[in-house]
Amino acid sequence: MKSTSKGFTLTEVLVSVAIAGILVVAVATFFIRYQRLNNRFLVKENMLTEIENVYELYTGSPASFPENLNKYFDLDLASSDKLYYDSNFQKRATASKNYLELEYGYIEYGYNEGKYRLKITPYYQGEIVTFTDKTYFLREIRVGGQNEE
Amino acid sequence: MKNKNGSTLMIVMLVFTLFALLATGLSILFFMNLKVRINSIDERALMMELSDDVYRYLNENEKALEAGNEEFDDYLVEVSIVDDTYKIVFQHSKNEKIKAEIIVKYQDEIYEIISWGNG
Repeated sequence: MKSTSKGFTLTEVLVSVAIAGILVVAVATFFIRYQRLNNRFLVKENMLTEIENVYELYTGSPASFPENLNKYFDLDLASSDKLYYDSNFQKRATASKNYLELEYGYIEYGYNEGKYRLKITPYYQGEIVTFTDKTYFLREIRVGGQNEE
Repeated sequence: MKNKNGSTLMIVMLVFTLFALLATGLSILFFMNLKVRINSIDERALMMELSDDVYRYLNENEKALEAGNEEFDDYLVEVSIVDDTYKIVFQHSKNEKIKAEIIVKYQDEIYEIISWGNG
């Protein structure tokens, strides 16, 4: 091959393209991985915010928690065993007495022997999500005679 | 490796090196951001667990508390009596940021939480 005086040789171009390819693949892999982790943390942050909101409803007034939960999720939990769908006909929640299943987890609540009990099990896409070494959050509040059901 | 117009392979390599440095810098920043978010999620979850444990501690004490220090699960609990109320400091034994200071009143065999401060 006759060499010209202008531009790079074929070898130089090939080496440059190979190096550029390696760099681009490395950077793309990193960003895809970052995006996945970022989405996972976003789900966890949203879950925590939702759990904090439910906790606030419960802790402020455990006796009227079911009514407040109805208002918060705009549901009718008085009737048992119902499925709820949103405007796109996607299942939004499954509810029965003292139980509510949502996109981000299940909520179980009740009252027994002077104690109100709220258990939230976070899960996402069929898998339980853990935040600490426990798989659920459980808050029990003991109440005096005048606050009992 | 120089052509007549003066461009060299070194310039191309310099651009690649700059690109690699930029990508490395960005990845460090992004991972630091992730690390901060992981810590924030952990702390929020631990604070929620701490508040659950405070309620559990109060539920388990059916008598009036006594001033002093004790261990309760992963926490160090410091109880002091202030007038007719109890000041309780809950401190996680492994993470010093996970802490709550609450003031409670004991009445009719239950504890009423008067104030709650975190951290």
